[in-house]
Amino acid sequence: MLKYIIRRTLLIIPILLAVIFIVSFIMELTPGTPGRVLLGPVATQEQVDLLDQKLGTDRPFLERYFDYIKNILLHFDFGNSYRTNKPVVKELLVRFPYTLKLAFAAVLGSSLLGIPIGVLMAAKRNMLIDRSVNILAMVFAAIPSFAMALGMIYIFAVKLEWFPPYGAKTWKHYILPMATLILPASVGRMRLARTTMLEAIRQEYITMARSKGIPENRVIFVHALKNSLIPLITSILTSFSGMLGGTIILENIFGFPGLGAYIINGINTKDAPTVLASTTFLAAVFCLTSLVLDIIYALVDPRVRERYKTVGK
Amino acid sequence: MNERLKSRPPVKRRRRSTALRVLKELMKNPLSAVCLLFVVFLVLVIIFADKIVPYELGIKMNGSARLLEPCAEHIFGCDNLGRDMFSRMVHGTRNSLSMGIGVTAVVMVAGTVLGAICAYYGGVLDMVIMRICDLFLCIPGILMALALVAALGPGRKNLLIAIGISSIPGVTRQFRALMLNVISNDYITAARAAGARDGYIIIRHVLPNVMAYIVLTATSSISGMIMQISGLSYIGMGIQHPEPEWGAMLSDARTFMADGPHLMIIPAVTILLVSLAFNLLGDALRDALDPRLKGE
Amino acid sequence: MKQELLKVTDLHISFKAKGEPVRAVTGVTFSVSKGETLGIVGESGAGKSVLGLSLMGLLPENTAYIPGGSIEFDGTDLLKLNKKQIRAFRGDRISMIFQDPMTSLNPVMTVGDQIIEALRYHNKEHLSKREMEQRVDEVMELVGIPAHRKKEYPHQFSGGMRQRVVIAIALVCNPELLIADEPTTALDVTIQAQVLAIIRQLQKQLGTSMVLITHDLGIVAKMCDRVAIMYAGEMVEQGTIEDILTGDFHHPYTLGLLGSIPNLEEDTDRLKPIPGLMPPPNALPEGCRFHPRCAHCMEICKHKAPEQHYEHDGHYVACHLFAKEGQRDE
Repeated sequence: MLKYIIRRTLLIIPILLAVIFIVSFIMELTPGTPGRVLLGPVATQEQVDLLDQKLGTDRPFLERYFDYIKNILLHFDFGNSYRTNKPVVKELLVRFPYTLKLAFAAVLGSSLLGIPIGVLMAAKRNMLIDRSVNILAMVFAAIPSFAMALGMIYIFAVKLEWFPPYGAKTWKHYILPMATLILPASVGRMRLARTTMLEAIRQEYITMARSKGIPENRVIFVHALKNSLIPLITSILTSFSGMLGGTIILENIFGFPGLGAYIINGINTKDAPTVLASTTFLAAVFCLTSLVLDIIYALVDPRVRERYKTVGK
Repeated sequence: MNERLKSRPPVKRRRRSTALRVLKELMKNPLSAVCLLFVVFLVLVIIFADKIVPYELGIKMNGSARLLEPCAEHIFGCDNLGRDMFSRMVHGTRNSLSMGIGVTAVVMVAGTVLGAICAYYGGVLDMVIMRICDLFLCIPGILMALALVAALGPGRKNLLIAIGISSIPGVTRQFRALMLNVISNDYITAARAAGARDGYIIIRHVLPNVMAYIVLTATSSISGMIMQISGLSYIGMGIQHPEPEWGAMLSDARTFMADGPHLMIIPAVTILLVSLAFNLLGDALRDALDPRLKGE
Repeated sequence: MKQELLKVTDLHISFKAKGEPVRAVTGVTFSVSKGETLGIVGESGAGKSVLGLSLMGLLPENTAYIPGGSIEFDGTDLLKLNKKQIRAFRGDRISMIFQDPMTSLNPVMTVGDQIIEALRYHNKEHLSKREMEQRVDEVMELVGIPAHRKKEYPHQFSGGMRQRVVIAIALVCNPELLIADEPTTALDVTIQAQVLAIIRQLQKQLGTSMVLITHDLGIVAKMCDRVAIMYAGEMVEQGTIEDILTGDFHHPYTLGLLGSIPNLEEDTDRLKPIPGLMPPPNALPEGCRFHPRCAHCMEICKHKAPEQHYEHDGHYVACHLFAKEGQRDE
C-alpha cells in the first residue's frame, strides 16, 4: 500500500512537467511578446526588445522551458510576475487561501446538506420530495453559475441589502459566493446520494441483512451506506477540484481576490509566469485529490485494498 | 428457417423506425413535446433571425432610449446604449445557440472518431491518445479554454477551438469505454473472422450500437456548452462587442442592475429556459431510447 | 401426530402493477412439523421464492402485499405482527439461506462481522462479547470454515466457502426453522453435494425444520421428508417423498416433472419435457392453470379450477382427473 502511494506520488511529477509544457506552449502562441504587452502599443520596438532581453523572453521556447523547470526543481522558483516583478509563488500563496476557503466551504456545505437528505430520501421514498428535488436539480443545472451569481447579487445585495456584493473583507462577503456554489451542488449531491443508496438497497445482501432481523436503521446506515460511500466520496473529491476551477469566473463577479481572479488577470496581461504557476498549482491539487481518492477507495473497499497489495509487489 | 429470416427486417429500415419510434415517444409526453417544439422554434429563430427583426436595430445606439423598459415599440426594452433588446436577443440566439450546437457537434465527432480509433486498434496508439487525454483532464476545463482563447485571440472560431479542445478529452474517454464494451462482443469477433474490413466493422457494427448514446450525450451537452460560451463571453473572452451574445449581455447588464433589471432578467431567463429544454429533452430521449434507465 | 411448527393457510401474495394486480401466489396451504424438511418444487416463476420471502416478512414493501391467508409460526400469526415484532423472529427463530452467495454477502464487511450481527441483536442468552465471538468460531467450524478466517472479506472466499458463510449466518442463532431458497443452484455440481451434506447434517444435529425451495427433484429426493409441487402460484400436489416419487396417483404436472429427469436404468435417447411454457402471473389461463400444457386435458379443466380431488393420508392432488375415482377410496 505504501509502495503504491509512493509510486502514485512520483507519477505526479511527469504529469506536472507535461502540464507546464502545454500551458507554456499555449502562452507562447499568444500574439505579441511580453515586452510589447507590458509597454503597450506606444513603445518603440527597441524598448520592447530591450525589455524582452531583460526578461529573457527572447530566447528559444525549449531553452526557456528547461530553464523554468530547472529553477523550480532547484530553488522552487516559479519566476517573477512580469507585471509586479514579485515572485509568483508569494503572490499565489496570498491568493490561494481565499479560493481554497471558498471551494472547501462549498464542498463541505453541499455534502453536509446534500448527503443526509439524499440518504433519507432513499430510505423514506417520498414521491413528493423526490419530485421537487428533481425539479430543483433540473433548474439549478440549467442556470450558469455567473447568471446565478448576478441573481444573488441583485436580490440579496441590491434589493434586500443583506450582504455586500463585492470584496472579501468580512464573513458577510463570503455568504453570496458560497451560496452560489453550494445550492446547485447540494441538490446534485442529494440526487446522487439517493440514487446510489437505492442501488445499494436493491442488492441481495441487503435482503440478507434484513433476514437477520437487525434494525432497519442498521441495514440502511451500515450495510447500504458503506457500499454507496465510494461513488459519494468520488463525487465529493472530484467536485472539490471542479469547484477550484468553477470559482474562476465567480471570483471575477464577486470581486473576490482569489486565485481565479489572479489567473484571469494574468491571462489578460500575458503574464506567463503567473498563469503557468497558477495552472501548475491547480493541476497539482487536482492530481493530489485523485491520489487521496485512490487511498480512500482502498480504505473503504477491501477488494481495492487487495489489488493495491499485489500491484505494490 | 424461412420464418426466422422474415422476422428480421433489413438493418436500414429498422434504424429509421427507431428514430420514428423515439420521436413518437417524445411527442407522447407533454413536457418533452413542449421541449422539442421549443427547440424547433429556436432553430427557426436562428435561421430566420434577419427576417424577424433587423440586426441593425440591436447595434444602433440611441441616446434617448437608454434603459427603456419593455413597451409596445421595444417589447424587450432597450439596453444602456439604447439598443433594441429584442433584436439583440434574437441575434444573440444566433450566436449563443448556434455556437453551442456547433461546438457540441465538433466535440462529438472528434470524440467518436478518436474513441473509435482507441477502442478498435488499442495498443500504443490507444495508450498515447489516452495519456494525452489524461493530461488535459488535469487542467480545469474552463482554465484551459481561457488560456487558449487568450492565446488565439477572441472571436468565434477561436472560441470554438478553445472549448472544443478543452472538452474533447473527456468525451473521447467516455466514448472509448463505451465502444470497448461493444467491441468485446462476439459478433465483432465474428465479423473480423469473416474478413470484414476495419472501416466496415466500425461503421456497420460498432457505430450503430453506440449512436443512441452519442445522440444522448450530445443533447445533454448542449446546455453545458452554451454556458461555457456565455461564461467566456461574460468575462470578455468570447464573442466581442458590439455583437450580441447572452453572456456578454449579462455582463453589460451587471452595472445597470438597479436601474434596468430587465437587461439582466431577459438573457438570464432565456439561458435558463434553453438549457432546461435541452436537458429535459436529453432525459426524455434517454427514457425513449432505453426504457431500462427510466426513473433513476 | 407430530407437532406443527409452521402452518400456512390459504396464503395469497400479489404485486401492485399498472392495471390489475399481479397474483404471484394464490391460496397456498401447507405445514411443516418440527424437525421435518418440506421441499417446495416448481419451475422458475412459479412463486416459490416469493413464498419463501413472505415467510420471513421480507416481501418488497412498496410493491407486494398479502390479500389473505395466515402464516402461523409456533402458534403466532406472523402476518398480524408489526415490523418490530416480526424482526424479533427473523434471523433468530426463522432464518434464511439465499440462492447466490456471490451477491448475498456484503462485500465491505468481514465474514465474522456478518455472522455475529444476528447474534448481537437477538442475544437471548445474554452472552458476553467474548462468548459471542466463541459462538461464531463454533458455527464456522461447524460449517467447515477455519475460525481464523473470520477477519477476511467475502471476496477472499470461493463460491462454496461463501455459501458456507451464508449457512453459518443463518445458523448462528440456532433457528427453529430454516428457509433455503435454491441454496445450491449457483454452485458447481461437486460443491453442491458438499453444501447439501453440510445442511443435512447440521439440520439433523440441531433438530431444525426446513423449507427447501428448489427446482431440482434430485435434491428433493436426497433432502426432503415431504414435498409440495407448485405451478403458477398454486400448489398442485403435496405428499411425502414416497408419495411423490413412487406413488401411483399424480398430478399430470408432477408426472411431467418426473418425466424430465433422466432415467439411468432405461435406455432412452430423449428426455420427455413438458410442452409449452408456464404462464406468467399476469396472464393466467381460465380454469386449471395447467390445462394448456396438460396431456389429459378435459372440457371441465378449461372452465373450472380443480379442488383437491385426491386425498390420501396427507397426499393431496388438485386435478379433475381424480374427481370421481380418486375420492377417498374407502
